[in-house]
Amino acid sequence: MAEIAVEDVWFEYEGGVTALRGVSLTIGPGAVAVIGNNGGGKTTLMKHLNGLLRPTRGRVLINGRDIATLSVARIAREVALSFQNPDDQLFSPSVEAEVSFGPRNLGYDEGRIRQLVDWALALFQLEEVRRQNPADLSFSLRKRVAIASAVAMDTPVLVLDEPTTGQDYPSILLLEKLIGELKAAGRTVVTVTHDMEFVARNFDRVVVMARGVVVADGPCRQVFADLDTLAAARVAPPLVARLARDLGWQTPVLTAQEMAAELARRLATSGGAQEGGEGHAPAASH
Amino acid sequence: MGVAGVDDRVPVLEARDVRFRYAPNLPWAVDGVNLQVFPGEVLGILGENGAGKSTLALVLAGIIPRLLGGEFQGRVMVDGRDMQEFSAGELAGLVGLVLQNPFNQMTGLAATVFDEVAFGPQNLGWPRQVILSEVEAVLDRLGIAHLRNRNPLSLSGGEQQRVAIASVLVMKPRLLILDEPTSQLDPAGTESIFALIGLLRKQGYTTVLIEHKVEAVAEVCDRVLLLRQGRVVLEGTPAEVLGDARVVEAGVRRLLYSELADTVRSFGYAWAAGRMTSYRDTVAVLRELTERG
Repeated sequence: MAEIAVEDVWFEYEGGVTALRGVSLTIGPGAVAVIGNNGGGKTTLMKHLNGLLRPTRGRVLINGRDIATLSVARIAREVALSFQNPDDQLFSPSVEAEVSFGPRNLGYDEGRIRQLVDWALALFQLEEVRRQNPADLSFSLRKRVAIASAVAMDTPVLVLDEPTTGQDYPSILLLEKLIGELKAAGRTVVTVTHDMEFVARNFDRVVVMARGVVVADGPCRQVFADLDTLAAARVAPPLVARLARDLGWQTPVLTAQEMAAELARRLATSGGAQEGGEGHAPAASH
Repeated sequence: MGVAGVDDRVPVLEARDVRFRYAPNLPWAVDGVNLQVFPGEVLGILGENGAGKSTLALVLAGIIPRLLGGEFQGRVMVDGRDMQEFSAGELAGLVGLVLQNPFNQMTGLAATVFDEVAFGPQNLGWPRQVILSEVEAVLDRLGIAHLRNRNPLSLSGGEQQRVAIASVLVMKPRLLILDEPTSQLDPAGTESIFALIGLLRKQGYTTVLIEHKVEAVAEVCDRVLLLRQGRVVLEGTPAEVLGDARVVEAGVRRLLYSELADTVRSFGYAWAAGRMTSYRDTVAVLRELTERG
């Protein structure tokens, strides 16, 4: 279990771009999605969670300790980060070496390293390519290797920056499995993503960022119901939520299953069922 | 359509029994693909990672077998002529390929968007006046004329992808191939590229679109192919293919509208379910059904 507290963090890049303008939030166990359009400060904030960037103003605490007082190696025991671009992260000659690097660096014993590496490779279906050079793999596989490398560090906090980018549906289902396992184990998973359906299916809490500040933070259902704030942050809610809104439904729906259930309820009560049926099909249409 | 459903239009692009593997000891990445792309049509190609989509794109663009080694069988025809008969220069103006990451497509040499788009025509030695007017025309048509003097590397992902598409379209290809053009873009960038594809469709461009986002495919494509292990396993309208429960086995999510159509069908409204093929039609049908009582 770990708790991260971000306290009024400001960050200015060299050259004067202010990417964070007073961000405060506390992250405990569970899955948190961070959404918002590009340029909103999401990646900059993620890089503060593992000490890769240090605040210009404000502070970041891990379990009550200011990370400014902790070494990068010490922070790495608590927080693992998978980069947005896998090519910023991958450097080893084989997938296996890449995924082993993190846990080995943390000083785990060989037995535990082997166990973690095997688990991460299996979870992301990378066993077949374990001896290949990551550079020879497709973008989507490189991305999976990068995520597996962070996962294998087995830290209380896992930060994933856009893990769904360029991934197909089966790969997204693998990520969902991972998030489910980590949630069940009481871990913290912070994920930046643009895939709102993925957010709706997996995340308890959603943080919306725009122009360097947090503009919404709350339960998934509540955040996705606040259409004005989302629009201001240039974030489109999940497709089913838009559909429900355009149908004038007051009941918020987040997933295809919820939408189908709500539709069935409305069809059952609309009185159409008894008068309708296939017999009422316009004769010409089929 | 001609007799017995045989299409009598002349395809812009046609693949006949195309097979390709990167080395003799590897499985076929493309394994006996037949496809036709007709004038003015947007053809979607879907499939999970590793299904052979990007390899097929390289085949359709003529990069395989010309520039990439491996074992190639079959024929690819452009306007009824075998691609192998064209010179490399001719090919550049025939099929335009746009890659996933717009950054990789940038020359890195141009100081402005204008120069970036003019790069191809300059290399082909077009007259200066023609370059000026053609580049202006394509920037205009793609709605990026206002970016003309910007540094391409300072643009957002969506803007960069528009510039990459402009750089290809300025060569006036017979066909445009977009290989996951939105996979690395944020929602605003993604939206702008799909709006652009819709615009190109209206302007009559012939396009092959490789894409994972099924609802977006349903909006902009006339026809789709589902690829699995290098083979075409389903083909039809977006709703026919993406509504088919078998897409899931091939690693593609089913269309949301089709999931909802199942519910509608289970209440006996098969006629209405059949109309739920796009966002607009789904809203219209569900309104009609749920607001009856």
